Amino acid sequence: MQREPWMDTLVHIIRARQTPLGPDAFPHLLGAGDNLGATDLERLVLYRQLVHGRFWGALEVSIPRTIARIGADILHQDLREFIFQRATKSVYMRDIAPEFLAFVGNRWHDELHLPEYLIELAAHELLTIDIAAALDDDAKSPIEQVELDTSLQFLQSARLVQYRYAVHRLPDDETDHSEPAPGNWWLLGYRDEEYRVRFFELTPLAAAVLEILMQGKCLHDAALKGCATVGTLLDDQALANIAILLDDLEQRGVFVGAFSTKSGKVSSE
Amino acid sequence: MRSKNPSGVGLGLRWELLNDVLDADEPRLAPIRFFEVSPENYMRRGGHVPHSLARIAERHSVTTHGLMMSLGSTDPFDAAYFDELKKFLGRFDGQWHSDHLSFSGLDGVMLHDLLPVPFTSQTAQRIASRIREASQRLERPMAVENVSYYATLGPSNLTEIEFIGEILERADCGLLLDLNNLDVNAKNHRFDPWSWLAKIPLERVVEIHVAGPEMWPNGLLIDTHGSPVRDSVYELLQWVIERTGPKPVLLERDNNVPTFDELLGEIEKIDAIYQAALRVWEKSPEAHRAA
Repeated sequence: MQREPWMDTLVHIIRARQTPLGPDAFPHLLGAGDNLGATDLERLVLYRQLVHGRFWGALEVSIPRTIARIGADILHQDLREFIFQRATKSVYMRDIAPEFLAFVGNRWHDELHLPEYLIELAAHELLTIDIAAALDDDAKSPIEQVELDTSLQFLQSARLVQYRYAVHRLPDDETDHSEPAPGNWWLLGYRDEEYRVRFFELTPLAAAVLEILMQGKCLHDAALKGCATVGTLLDDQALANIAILLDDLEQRGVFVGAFSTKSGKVSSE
Repeated sequence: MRSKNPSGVGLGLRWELLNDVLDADEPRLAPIRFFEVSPENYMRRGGHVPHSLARIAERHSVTTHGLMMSLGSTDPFDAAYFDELKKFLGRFDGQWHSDHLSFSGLDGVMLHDLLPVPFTSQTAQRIASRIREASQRLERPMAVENVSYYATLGPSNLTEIEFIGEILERADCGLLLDLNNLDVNAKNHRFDPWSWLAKIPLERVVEIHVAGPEMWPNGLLIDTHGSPVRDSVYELLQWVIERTGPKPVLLERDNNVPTFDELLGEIEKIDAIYQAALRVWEKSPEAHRAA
């Protein structure tokens, strides 16, 4: 479909790496007879300010604590590069921040030598939003009996994550700049029935078992592979720990149903 | 309070207002005849936000006003977006869906703003064709909003009024008349809004928006929906309602959002002008009525 070249000119001005200082900055975009005076350029550049402002606003509401720690100057520079190279293909503004974070990748640490935990802090802020907005579940089926061949269905909001820093323990206060403890942190996040986002820390065995269960495998496979992953014997103690874990998750309402991998029937039936 | 064709004054329903609306008792909400939502802020998500909206829609009329259809673009429509939008619209009573006479991206890149389009016949034909396509995809009528523009994009062979008129005729669609946008454009481009209004086909108006802009250091009024409605917009509203009769009139407030009580106060002020204009319309000869 044909379009007027001025639309491309406007998009170019908005996305350019540097703010155009004069019409000479992009003569290749102007056709024969096109005139672009200083006032015209100033008004077109206004759209650049508006678009960059909207993208920045999307970051501000999504990763405020990360912005407070890194500083707006660095992030504005990253955002200009993001808009220049990629911007977004999504109609949803809430997709901008995750796409931005994927774009900056490890640049914050590798190139700018910022603390390694910052990318995880940003990811954790986004995870909280992701869980809050996760699609709703259909009606839950009560779980009466969990057998070894039982496969459990989790809330659509359930997310299992691993961090190298305890960013989830940092205070919500944006002025706080304390450093998170390094370690090997496994978390399960989910949205409860009152729409609150909840996180709880997991032991390595619990995380390994949940990882398999969340793939839709049965409890037998999860227990077996989970223990193998962490180098633990599948003994009575391990089974007891897994039972406690499942009971806790059931109490929290993390499961929406269960079915037997042998019969395919819901366990409560 | 629910009506498939609401008229009177409504409020743009931002997330921040959801709890205020849910917590308010019915008499307090009486001045609000309907709520309007931007689907893109509510679609493809679960949790508190859509749940609260569903509760509000049980008791109140909800209309929809999109942000990202990008009618002025040359990109093909995004099928997934339309599927999701159609499902979303099906949950509410609205008799039409509206979006803007602008573009939001090109070549697959979305810039999340309402960018101006050249006022040319070529663009008008393209937009009209896309409005028809959108209407077919959504299986409901479309209305389009006149936007604020800070620059005219390249040489135009039509005035804005001719441009809008050609689109409305070709697409046979409704006009969402944004009086704040008109006021902002009139100030920024130094034209007479009354003469603009006199030429607009008022019989196409299905809804009216009012809001307040902010003055930027460069001296331009920017359509931020960040201040109370200006007196000049109230005057335009009165003139239009005196000629169109009952219409849904929406207060948009997206920045520097005041307390809910202050918003209710502003709605009551708009309603007073709306009611006064309606009384004039009711007494006016049929021949002077636009709709």
